[in-house]
Amino acid sequence: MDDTVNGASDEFIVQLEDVHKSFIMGKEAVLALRGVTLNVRRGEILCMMGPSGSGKTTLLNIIGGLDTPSRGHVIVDGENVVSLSEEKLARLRLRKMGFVFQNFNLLSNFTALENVQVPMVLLGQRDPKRARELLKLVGLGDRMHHYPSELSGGQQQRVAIARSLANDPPIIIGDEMTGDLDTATSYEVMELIARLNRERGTTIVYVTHDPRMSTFAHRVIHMRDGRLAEEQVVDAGTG
Amino acid sequence: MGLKYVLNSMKRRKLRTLVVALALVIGVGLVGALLNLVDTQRQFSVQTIGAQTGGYDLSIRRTDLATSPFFDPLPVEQLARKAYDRITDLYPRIQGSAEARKANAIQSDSLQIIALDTLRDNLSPVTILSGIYPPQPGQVFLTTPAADALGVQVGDEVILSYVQPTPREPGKAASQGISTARTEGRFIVSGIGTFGGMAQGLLNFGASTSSALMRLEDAQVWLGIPGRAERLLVVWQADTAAGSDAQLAVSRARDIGLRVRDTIQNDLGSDFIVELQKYQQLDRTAQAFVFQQSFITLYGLLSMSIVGLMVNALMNTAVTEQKYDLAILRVLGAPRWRLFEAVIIEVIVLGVVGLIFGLMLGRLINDFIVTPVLLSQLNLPASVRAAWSLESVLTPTLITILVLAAATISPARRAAGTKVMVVLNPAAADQPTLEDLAKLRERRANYGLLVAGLILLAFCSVILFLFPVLFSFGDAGAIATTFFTTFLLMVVGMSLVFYFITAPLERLLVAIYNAVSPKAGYFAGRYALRGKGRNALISLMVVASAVLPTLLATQLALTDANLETDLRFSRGAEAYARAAISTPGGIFRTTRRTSDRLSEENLAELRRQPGIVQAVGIADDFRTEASDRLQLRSAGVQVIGVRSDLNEVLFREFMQWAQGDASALRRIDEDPSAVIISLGLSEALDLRMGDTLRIKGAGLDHERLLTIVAVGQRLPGFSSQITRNVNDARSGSTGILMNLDTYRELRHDPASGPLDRDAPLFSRVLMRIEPGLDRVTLGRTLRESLGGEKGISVELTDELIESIRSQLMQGRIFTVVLTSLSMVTAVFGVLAVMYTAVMGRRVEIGMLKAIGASGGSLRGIFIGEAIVITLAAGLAGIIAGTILGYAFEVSQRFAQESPLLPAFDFSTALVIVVMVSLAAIFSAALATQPVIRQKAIKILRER
Repeated sequence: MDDTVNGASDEFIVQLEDVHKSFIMGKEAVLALRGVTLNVRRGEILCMMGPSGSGKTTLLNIIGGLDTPSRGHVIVDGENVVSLSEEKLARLRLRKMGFVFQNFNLLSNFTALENVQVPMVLLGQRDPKRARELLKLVGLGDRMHHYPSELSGGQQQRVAIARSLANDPPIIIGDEMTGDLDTATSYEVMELIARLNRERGTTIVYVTHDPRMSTFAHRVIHMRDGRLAEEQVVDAGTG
Repeated sequence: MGLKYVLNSMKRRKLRTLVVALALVIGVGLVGALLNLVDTQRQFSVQTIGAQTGGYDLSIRRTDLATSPFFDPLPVEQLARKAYDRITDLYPRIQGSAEARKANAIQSDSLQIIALDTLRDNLSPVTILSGIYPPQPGQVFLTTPAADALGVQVGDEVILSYVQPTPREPGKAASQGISTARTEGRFIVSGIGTFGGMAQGLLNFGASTSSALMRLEDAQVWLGIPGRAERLLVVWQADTAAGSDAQLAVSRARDIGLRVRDTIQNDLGSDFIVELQKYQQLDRTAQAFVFQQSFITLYGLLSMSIVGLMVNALMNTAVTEQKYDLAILRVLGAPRWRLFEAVIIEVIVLGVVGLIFGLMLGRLINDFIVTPVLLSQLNLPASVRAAWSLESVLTPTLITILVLAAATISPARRAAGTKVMVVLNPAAADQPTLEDLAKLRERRANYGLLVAGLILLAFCSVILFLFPVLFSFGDAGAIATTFFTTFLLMVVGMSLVFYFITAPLERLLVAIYNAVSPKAGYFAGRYALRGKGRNALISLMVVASAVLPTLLATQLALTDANLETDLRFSRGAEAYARAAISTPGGIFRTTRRTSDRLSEENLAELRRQPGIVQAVGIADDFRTEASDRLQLRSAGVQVIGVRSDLNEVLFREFMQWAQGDASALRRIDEDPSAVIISLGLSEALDLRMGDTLRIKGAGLDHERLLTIVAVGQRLPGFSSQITRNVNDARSGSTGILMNLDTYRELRHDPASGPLDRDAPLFSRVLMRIEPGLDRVTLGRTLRESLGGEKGISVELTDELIESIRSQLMQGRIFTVVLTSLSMVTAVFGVLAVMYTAVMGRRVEIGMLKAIGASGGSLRGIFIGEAIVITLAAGLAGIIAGTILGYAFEVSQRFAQESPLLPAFDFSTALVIVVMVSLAAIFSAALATQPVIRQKAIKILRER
């Protein structure tokens, strides 16, 4: 693998070509994406920014296999996402994606340790030892048996990050990961993300409204009206 | 705002609205169906009574003091019509007993003759099996038992011999030994079949006695009484209220009867009497229906309470779902009562829909499921159909209003309490409280509910003390309501106590599920064991629904399993004979018997009967005082004299001796100074085997000292006399067994003259039958040979067992119907709660979908969770019901020392397990399907 600037390789793990997405809102069709072409390198941290309704979350969902484009090509880690059925998409997400949401989305009836094990169980590879290691990695070695409601927002997001790493996916998708956190905690979470990228080479694609959080990315793309408006390459880990 | 907001909300949440409406429809429908079931049974009973008593309302006869039982019906008819103008028909008849034999045959048999206006009198249904009905002049129509007994066929000639009755003198018994004139008549058999209206029991609908039907004119010619009748049967205009209010019908009938009787007696003399057999029967059964009605109403209340729990859960979910909308309304200035009103209006709308369609559904269930099942299974007449009555509409309506009001208050209050913070700062409004944190801890056995259950059970036992007070008032309705309320509280108490064991049962099922499907088991186990409030609701609903049917089924199963043992124990021997002096045919006598006791001669005759191996006579009509030798302690006893060795006839496997053994039975037969006492009496008098018992004889200075040769704890045939119960002994309720000669001597007052050794003494004769004989044939032969004039009634224990067993089948069918109906509400309860569970976890489902859970995995998770909860609760309910059933049975039997064979109704348990499992699978699949079909991102976006 050829190393390039900021630790990312030349190999594209995500390839989008002329991606369109339209929704029907009431009686009108809304064009959320209007021909987006974008490549993400393996090991890259990509941040997507833009005003509300610019299409950044739609694009993130398409990259994450949560949504499919109305038109265009999407290849994730060598697999053509567009042609996959719902069940195959679910399988792809389970093996190749890790998700970190704004609201953490942890299972409230499960402890931190059990939440981390959820993707492993779904894949049929339950491994409590690995789950414990992941929790230690995110600094929650002493909170393993706590329920989400017994953890702070930052701690919950750390559990979500540990969960996203459960099946060792090549890509982590983050949707407003720090949206519900205070500034100090947001920095802590983003630093953790950046560290994971450095240490494990995991590709990170995330959306944020907060310009301060974009400084952790290798590359920042700005979206407007469903199109890529601007692209900016930054020094990794400067945040 | 109210109604429109509610209708919009209902439109937006179609599935929830549908589930609540369906639950109400089903709940109300089932209550309606249950009430209709009682009405169906009541009508069946009324029709049966009508058919058995001949389908007429009143009969007019002369007493046996009259010079002749026959009278001119015309003036009586006119007077009756004058007394009551709604009389529609009057039918003269001659009914009575006669000896009958086939022409040229020697063997005769007694049968009942019914001479009637064959063209007009259609009060009792006639079924023709061969030949013709009505008979022509000189012909008789025989019922099947009569034709079988006489061995005749259509066209054969029969000779009927009628004994002219002699009037009885006032204050004296009928004269005996007087030679009576007999009138013989020859008739040709026109047909053979059945004739309703003459059966003796309530349960043998359609059965008929041994009878011969003939034309009234023929009987008048044969008996030499032209134009006369023996009775006049009166039918009045059908009272529409009679079907639903038996008490009213009975009191009206009594008024009419009094009026008719007084009018006739004023004009024709006091030897005319009227009888209201139909209403006597109706009066007796009415009491039973009050109990049944109360039971069903309370059963309905229990079912509807489950619906109430479900409505409560669903409305709470609705409030949670609409929290944001409600908060916006608050921000905009809506007062709290408006939000309260919104929930109430929604429940009222759903309640009205539920009631209307529920009542219709109840009718449909009754007409197309319950009634056809009962008609076919219980052989009811097709005309039996439940009627729409105010009661059948009002009761479910009231129950529904009551239950809905109770179920709606808490969600309505929650809605009214919505904070504006939900809109302003959702995170702050949703801050978990300490209670929320506690809910997350794994579910443990609930000690609070256990204590509540125990308190409820204790409360029930306190109520039982109030029963004597209620009984003193005699109001059947109040007694029934209190009884069944206590019963219901007991069931609820047991449900709460046994809810305690659902947690360990759930753990067991989770372990099994984990082994079968580790992936789904991982999630289902955690959800099932940690979803405290929601899962407790499902568990309680299912436990409560399962307890009552299992309790009833267990009791029936125990009765069934122990029927043979119980009857053998209480009867004591294979066959049982007693004197029969009553006759079914009014004033005509078929028997020459005057005593209700059997004699030594009868005993000898019984012993001579083919098939009878041994017969032992029992005399027990003497009560006296027994004491120790010094008369320090004494107690009343029933003295039982035994002729021959009881070992020869009793079922020996049931004997239990505290001291001594079965050889004592032979000893009392041989030794006039030997006596067997009960363990209770032994303890009450502090006497043991070998001690002397002082027995007071009839008259003054008459006593005997007897030696105790055994102390019995349990003796078949003497279940109430030989017991361990000391209290019974102290209150004079136990018996002592001795030689018949000693018995005879003790009960005879020496001052009253010499002892009559031939006087009939035996109240019963216990017999052993030759092994290998066909019991049915033997029973019939014995009855034919010993019935009639000899007046000896013989019953075989095996025949009795079969007859009672068939009656138990009815109870089983009703239990299965009740189980199915009550479990349907539980099924809907599970569906509703699973729906709320899924709705409450939409985001979690969305998240699981997002990280790659397949539809199959998600379905497996929720189905697994539902199965674990419902099955554990179902099993807990079955265990609770079974234990309660055994508790009732064991407590009843303990005092009687009667043995108990364990039994369990697998069919009811299976129905419960299958229904709750299907409910779990069906409800989980149905509730999750709409969410699973949505894209993860759509679910997550909706939060």
